[in-house]
Amino acid sequence: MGESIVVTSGKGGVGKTTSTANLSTALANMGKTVVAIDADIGLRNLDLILGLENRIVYNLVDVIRGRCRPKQALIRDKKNKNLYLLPSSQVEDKTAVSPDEMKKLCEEFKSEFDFVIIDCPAGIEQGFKNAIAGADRAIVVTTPDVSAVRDADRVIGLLQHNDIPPGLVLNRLSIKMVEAGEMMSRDDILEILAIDLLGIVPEDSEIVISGNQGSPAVLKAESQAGQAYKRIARRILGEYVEIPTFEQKRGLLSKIFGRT
Amino acid sequence: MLSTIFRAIRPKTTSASTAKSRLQIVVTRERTGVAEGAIQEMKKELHAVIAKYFVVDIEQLEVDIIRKNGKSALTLQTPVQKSSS
Repeated sequence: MGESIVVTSGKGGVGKTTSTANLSTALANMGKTVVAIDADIGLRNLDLILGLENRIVYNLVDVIRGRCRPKQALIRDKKNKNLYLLPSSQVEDKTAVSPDEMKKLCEEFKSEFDFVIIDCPAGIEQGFKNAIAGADRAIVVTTPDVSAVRDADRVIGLLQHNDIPPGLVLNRLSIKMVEAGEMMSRDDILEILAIDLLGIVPEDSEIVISGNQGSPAVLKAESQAGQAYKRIARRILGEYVEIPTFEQKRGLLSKIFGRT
Repeated sequence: MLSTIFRAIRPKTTSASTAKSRLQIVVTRERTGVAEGAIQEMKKELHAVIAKYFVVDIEQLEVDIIRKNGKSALTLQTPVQKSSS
């Protein structure tokens, strides 16, 4: 029986879709069969980030409404045969499916795939309730800023209330800013949120480039964020992987004369 | 060189530490489900009690719920100058 993980945050724009795309790709690359579900009905994005936007025929709502069989809606990645996408609908809205229907769908996929990764929409209303309904565990994504952390805390409360264990992914950390005292550190954020840290993804311009190209950053060896997602995927599989400190290497001159 | 000197005399409060303090207060308040105006009401009542023993300015009385390492605590701070008796 496979495992279902919902990727959520509360706050929008902190990296749920990016994390879903990269973790799904990484797990698939490590030999696991993965279905990535875009549960953001009405505002789909996972298809774009995975570069599969031109192959959509059926979507999540079609499957739940019985207009097609689940396999007909799944888009198999040509470069990575272990990876499948169930895209969302761009025309319907979040009332088009119910939590029970989502739960049933996830159970069905779990019986056939190693992992079901659910990209949750922003917010805590119907879309969120749908997305978490079929999840065994959750990844809470946050960036190191006050709004995102506050929203993450609210979401963690809701997840715990629903008996879904959360793990934290701290996204877009800039060590330079942390060292300058202008960004909260991992320890600061863990003190506030008090859940297990699954991993840290550093700020990386490769993420924008990857989105432009429709090719997730995990596929690029030079991307720090991509490598971070790879480590997180390994931790999801139960491996112990140390979280790097991301310290910047500084030359002698910059050490004498202060920060660059 | 100059930046090293300036860094030594710069105040220790960073924006990150401000963010952390603010978040601890806000998050704990929201987690414990304290009603919106409750802390203000409680502050007034606490001030009345303290004023029986000390001269205290309500404007300088700080009451809040903070959170550290998974535990919540109610904190109260106020400068005291002399007893009111």
